[in-house]
Amino acid sequence: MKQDDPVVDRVLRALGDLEPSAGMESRLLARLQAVEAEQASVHSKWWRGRVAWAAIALAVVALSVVGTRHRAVGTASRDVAVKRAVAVSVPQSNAPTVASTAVHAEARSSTRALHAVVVHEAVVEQRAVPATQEASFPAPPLPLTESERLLLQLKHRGDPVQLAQLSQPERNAAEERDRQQVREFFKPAPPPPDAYKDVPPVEVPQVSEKYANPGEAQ
Amino acid sequence: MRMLEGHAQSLAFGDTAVTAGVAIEALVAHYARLLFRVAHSVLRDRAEAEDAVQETFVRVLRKREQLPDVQDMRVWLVRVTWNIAVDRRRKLKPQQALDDAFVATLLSLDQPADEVLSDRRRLGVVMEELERLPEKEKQVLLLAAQEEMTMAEIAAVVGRSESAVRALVFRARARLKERVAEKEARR
Repeated sequence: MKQDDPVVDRVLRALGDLEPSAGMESRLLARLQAVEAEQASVHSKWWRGRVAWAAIALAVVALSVVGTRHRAVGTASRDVAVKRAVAVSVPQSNAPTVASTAVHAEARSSTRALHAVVVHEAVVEQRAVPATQEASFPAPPLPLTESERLLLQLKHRGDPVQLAQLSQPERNAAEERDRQQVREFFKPAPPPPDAYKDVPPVEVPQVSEKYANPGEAQ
Repeated sequence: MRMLEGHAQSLAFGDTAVTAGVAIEALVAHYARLLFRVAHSVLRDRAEAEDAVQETFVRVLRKREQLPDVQDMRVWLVRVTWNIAVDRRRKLKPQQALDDAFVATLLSLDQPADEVLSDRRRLGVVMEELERLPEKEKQVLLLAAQEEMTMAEIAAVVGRSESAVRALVFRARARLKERVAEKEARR
């Protein structure tokens, strides 16, 4: 067996002593920097996505909390505003002016706008109530409702009998016809025919006094 | 630069405390050449070997947080590079063309043409028989060809004892030379 083969050693030495191309390290570093930048970009995108979702969730929670508080505050402030408006604006003669001024003044914010609307409604209502309680206040001519129109149509259907009553001769003729029908209905019955004159009368059996008058027998 | 050398040297000795603060630039500066030779011994192509080294460092970059757990950075990098090179080689064109290109780089054009042809043929035979070696023998033989790799490191890369690796290297050399001699005798 030939142990010292220069060709084999030459190949192995060539494989072990091979030098890379010039600038390999710089190319590797450039490539690694690009990969690192790409990773950082992906990482920042991931964080941006997380932050965006967190912001959306926070906004939803904030809106729900604000909505809940708005309803609670709105109910309480409405009661307070009604009382204040009734107490303040009714005695004054120029209530609409005061109310409209209050509306424009308090409409700067959404919460104050709600208060202004409530005050305005209370003032209008307070002015309308005494007017409806006046004695000479006439009822307004209201139009007929659908049910009333239907009732009128049922009442005035154009019946011929009713129309005939409007004319005196025809009404007299109709009454005469009615009387004639009554007379014919109640006139006496005609005499029985002669077919039964030869038939002997039937003897009716006599009932004893006991059964004819049961009270007297006792 | 001296600091980097000392830094990488401490990495080679498994100083995990230093590894925690390791910079990729230091790893590239110290291990790129060795890893290139290891990859080239499998691939026999410069461009492919450089791509394999690049892929190795990209993996290192993506697993940077695991670097403190690495006991021996040199062994770990060589093992990663070897596996990458073997994977890449499976996807390459037939090895014959790559071997011919590598053999061409070994020829001396100062010789007469007939000697150049004979030299090319013998080198081709060696490369062919090298590929036909059992996988483990081929691996330890190619790693042993790297002068920077000690037997202990090769043993750590292949996961065997140092004595087993020595035996494998001796057996691989003997088998390769025997097969080359037999093929030469038949011609």
